Amino acid sequence: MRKTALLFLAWLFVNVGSVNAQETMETSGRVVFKFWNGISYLISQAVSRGVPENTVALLLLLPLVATLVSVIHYVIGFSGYGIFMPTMMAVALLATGVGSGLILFAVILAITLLSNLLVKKLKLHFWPARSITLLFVSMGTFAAMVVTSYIKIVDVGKISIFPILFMILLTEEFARTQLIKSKKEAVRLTTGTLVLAVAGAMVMGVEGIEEMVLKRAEIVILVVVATNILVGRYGGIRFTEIKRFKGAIRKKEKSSVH
Amino acid sequence: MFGINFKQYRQFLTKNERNKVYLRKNTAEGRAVADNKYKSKKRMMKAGISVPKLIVRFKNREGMENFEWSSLEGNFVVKPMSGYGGEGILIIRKKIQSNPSRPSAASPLDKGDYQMMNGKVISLEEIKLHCLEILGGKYSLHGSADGVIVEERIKIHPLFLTLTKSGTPDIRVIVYNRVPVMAMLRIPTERSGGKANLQQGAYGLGIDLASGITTFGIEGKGVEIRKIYDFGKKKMIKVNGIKIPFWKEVLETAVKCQGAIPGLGFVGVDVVIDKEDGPKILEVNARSGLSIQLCNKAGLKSRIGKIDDITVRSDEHGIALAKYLFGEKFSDKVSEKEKDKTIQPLEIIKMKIPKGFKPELQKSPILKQGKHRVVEVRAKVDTGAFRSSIDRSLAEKLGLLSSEKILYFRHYKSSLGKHKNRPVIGVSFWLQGKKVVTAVNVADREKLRTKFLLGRKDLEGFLVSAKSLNPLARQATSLEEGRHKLKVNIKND
Repeated sequence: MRKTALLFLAWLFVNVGSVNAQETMETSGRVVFKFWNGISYLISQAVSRGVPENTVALLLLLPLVATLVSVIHYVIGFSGYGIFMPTMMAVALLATGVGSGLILFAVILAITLLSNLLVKKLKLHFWPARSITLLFVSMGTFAAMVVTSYIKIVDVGKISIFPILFMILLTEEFARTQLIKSKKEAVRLTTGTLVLAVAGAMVMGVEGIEEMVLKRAEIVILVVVATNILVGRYGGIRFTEIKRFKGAIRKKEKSSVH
Repeated sequence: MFGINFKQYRQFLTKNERNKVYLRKNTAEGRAVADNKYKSKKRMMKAGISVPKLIVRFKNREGMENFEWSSLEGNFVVKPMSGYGGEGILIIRKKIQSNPSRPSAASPLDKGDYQMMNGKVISLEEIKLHCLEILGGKYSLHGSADGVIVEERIKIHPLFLTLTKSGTPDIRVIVYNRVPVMAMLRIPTERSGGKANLQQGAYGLGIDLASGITTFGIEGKGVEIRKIYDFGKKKMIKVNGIKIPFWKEVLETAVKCQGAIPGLGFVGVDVVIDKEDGPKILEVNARSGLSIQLCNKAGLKSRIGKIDDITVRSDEHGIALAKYLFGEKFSDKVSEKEKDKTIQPLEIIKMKIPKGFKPELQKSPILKQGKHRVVEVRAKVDTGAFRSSIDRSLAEKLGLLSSEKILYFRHYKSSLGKHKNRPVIGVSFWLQGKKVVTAVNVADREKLRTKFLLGRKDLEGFLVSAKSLNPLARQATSLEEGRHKLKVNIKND
């Protein structure tokens, strides 16, 4: 199974360049049905019937970004909050733009931390405390939107509710980790999530990638499956573990030669 | 590749590999028991394994409110039922009598305050709030509702009291297929907030499985330390050379614990040592941390590989395997400056006779080495062999070959290329005053003059010299005799 996946990936890298995209397309950009490109054909049909192209592209890109996150986690050893949080954040950052998205996140995080300090003094149960925090976040985000509409560093029109929701979720995780583990751990996981999200957003933002996944959906699916089978069975060392275990290697006793 | 010798890393159990082992060896049922402290405690008690006494368990708020809190005079621990990483645990030392000169702001009703292990004062109201937070799922894995356990605090062993002023040190033993494969002493620090978890910043000291003596140390999840503070002697002491009390019992308890929970083949057992009652199981972890390899400077993967295909007959067998296969090679008094000792191709070793066994020896007298009975045996150094081997009849005479003493059987290729299924047994011997605890294979050396062959595995720290360096000081009599005979034979030829 592993060998098959590896062979397939190798074959793909050799072939993906040589397949001429023009072959399967009419001049209008429509996909012509061939025996092996059923899914791409279906997508092109659906798009022509009014299914939003952008959404279909994002749907296909999501597993690709998730694959990227899992490769980085299992092979390099760098990670954030699970696999979905970075993926979702990547979509959020794609929607808001990386720069303004990070600013927005910083604002939301600051409000959450401040309100946590306040709520802690009230000695409330866990969930009511979170609700009050959420209230502060909502008010604060609104205030931030009002301010930015005047000074125009962030394109307000791009900020919709979903990116904000993802960001609130992430700050919530941050606060939770800080509370029950440590601030250090919370900072580590959150920056990890953000770095992965930025990487994911950049991959999704590559010019022409949307068109690529729409016209070559089969390749995306096979790449995702093959890569995840490979990574899923990887039992070796992660890059970060090399440093970790370095000190545990016993040095051979230096024997003096007479 | 990249200037890193990847071969050196193969011995370690990495995260990816650990997750595979975890899934392969631990069933869903076993994991569920390990993750729930109440369930695992019940199993232990049923199997007759000592655990800290359960005072009460709360499943919901009503139970918590109805509990007679005033009956608690201190020395108790409040913990979440399915917490992880030592989160959400309150350790209460004693009740403080209400002090009229210091009105407590936190508890206007003044139901009494308690002192925690780190010296801080906590009110009963705050303890109850903490219980409510646990019940609400603050410390459970996915924020789902949880239960609260209140149990007695164990009486810390005096040795451990000298090592920390905040919290209870415990011993993590990794047990795989009934064999203890690695162990470490976890010492809470001020930084770790009295918790014995390495990820919180506690110290971890590797322990030699054969002797129960500490070897190396780390702080947190990686920084190597060489010295720790001894509160008794009021000075820094080395991390190595600390002898764990009740060591044999600690291993026995850990192995028994694995047997008590079916479906757990790979488990990290946390053992605390009570001043009076000895070892008690604190909790079991189905997904044990990997830093234990750092403070032992040894790989879990290679150790697991050595015992994976052995069918362990009993708990004693498992512990014997650990002792003879994973024991450290150091002399009784650990000293790094000690020079390599020089040995000769033919040496006299002193073999330990098992306790209570009456050896049938005609010629060799039974001598004393410390408190052990030993017998002198001629041994030949063979750096071409990995493991040492002992003659079958000699092993029998010394009482080492009874069926419960055999560790396992292995195929060995003799120098003549014959495959033989040889038993491997555990032995202890002294070579030039250095104690060696090791596993040796049993071979037929009936027709050979030396009944013991010293392989290179047991020659660590020794230099083999072909010439006699200091003939006067050595126990050379029998060797000289042998040499003399040899000369005579040559002459006769």
